[in-house]
Amino acid sequence: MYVIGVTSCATGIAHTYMAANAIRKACKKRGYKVKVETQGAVGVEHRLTEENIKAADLIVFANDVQITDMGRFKGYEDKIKRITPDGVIRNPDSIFD
Amino acid sequence: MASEKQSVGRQIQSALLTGVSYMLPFVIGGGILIALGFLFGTYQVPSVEPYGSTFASTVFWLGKGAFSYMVPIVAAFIAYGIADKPAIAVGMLGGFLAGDPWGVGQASGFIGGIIAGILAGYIVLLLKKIKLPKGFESIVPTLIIPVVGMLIEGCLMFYVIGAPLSALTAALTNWLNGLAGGSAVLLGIVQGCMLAFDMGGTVNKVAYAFALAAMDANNFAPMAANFIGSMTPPLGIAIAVLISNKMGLHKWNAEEKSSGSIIGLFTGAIAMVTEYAIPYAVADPLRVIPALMAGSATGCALSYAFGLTMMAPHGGLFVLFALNNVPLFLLALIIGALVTTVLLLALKKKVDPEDEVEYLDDDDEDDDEE
Repeated sequence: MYVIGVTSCATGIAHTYMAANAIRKACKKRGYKVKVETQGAVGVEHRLTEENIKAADLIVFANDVQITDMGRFKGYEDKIKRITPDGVIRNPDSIFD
Repeated sequence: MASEKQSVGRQIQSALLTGVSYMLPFVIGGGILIALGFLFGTYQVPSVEPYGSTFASTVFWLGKGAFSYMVPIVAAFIAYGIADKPAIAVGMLGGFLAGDPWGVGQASGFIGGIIAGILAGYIVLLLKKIKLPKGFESIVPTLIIPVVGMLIEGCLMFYVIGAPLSALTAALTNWLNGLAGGSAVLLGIVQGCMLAFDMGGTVNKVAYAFALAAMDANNFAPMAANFIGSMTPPLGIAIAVLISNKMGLHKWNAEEKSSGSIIGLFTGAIAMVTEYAIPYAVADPLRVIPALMAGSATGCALSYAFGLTMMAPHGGLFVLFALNNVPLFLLALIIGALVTTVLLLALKKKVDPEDEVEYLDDDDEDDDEE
């Protein structure tokens, strides 16, 4: 199982990174491979590549604000799970529901 | 492009936060430069001196320049949040019009910018549905959306919603400026509860946007309350943890009560980054969040009661010079924080002694395999 995610929040200094870590932890706990792109105040870090997106079994969007470069995910809509950063911080396992 | 699966409410909410997110650097940079201009010019000079005539006026007008992008940028990126890249230009035009650039009596400021942004987003979303024969599709984003989109947006702004929006803005501004006594204190309580509720999240940003909108209308009282309400949560927790450590009350686990975490909390308090309170709230939300809300509400209410004003839009203790009364500000801040402290110490349960021993750093996060 390969999980990828994108996180973003309004200020881009706290929720973005806490949500990313929550996703990483939840996946590690289950032994899944994971990569999370953060779109914070400093811009995009750990950018997801075409190959990452193609290989992913689950794409988690934990975003309060519009995701940068959304066009990359065209054609993979059925793998996308949408959640709020707050939601994933409070209950990380909910990404697998 | 927000997916069709999202509800309209969620789509607009996400778009508003997107707008605020892109707007913040303009507001914070511009607002603090304006305040610095006042500081250098001893609060009188810069606004009546032309750009470049003195250093103070130069700094002041630089800040004004950045601040004047606030409404166009928020409108542009609300539109972007709804209909992606092609909506930016249409939204920005709408936001520019909300500033009444040609003086036709249609100034609607921040509220106008928000409405203009939403409008532009949905106009572009509709225009994107136009299907042209193969080979001509590229005309939609390059030609039709900018031209037709701006025409519709501009005409709706001028002929339909410009006048009512500016009347609404004027009414709200008058109401805000006329607030005094009990109703101002009530506003403070609502503002404080919202600021502390999610510590930098969605509800907090709505309250912050309100303070910014007031600032845009030259009312600086809500921003002073915003400062206090954003700073009391980390400060109140920090004091509570220190007391618990000193007196051996065992209210927090090893990680929460470590000196690193306490330094983080004080940083949050000084720099006005409420987010430092989040880990404490996530660990025990039902006890911690009410304590934070009560402290923030108290601080904000006192801010209005003391008649505090703050001319900088962000910056915590680093921008104290932009306040009208520093001692009373600190008093309100400390009283608010102490309310949080007392409630936390009363509400929090003792932790399991095992959790207190040491922090096991077993999972080094990170490491995304490439």
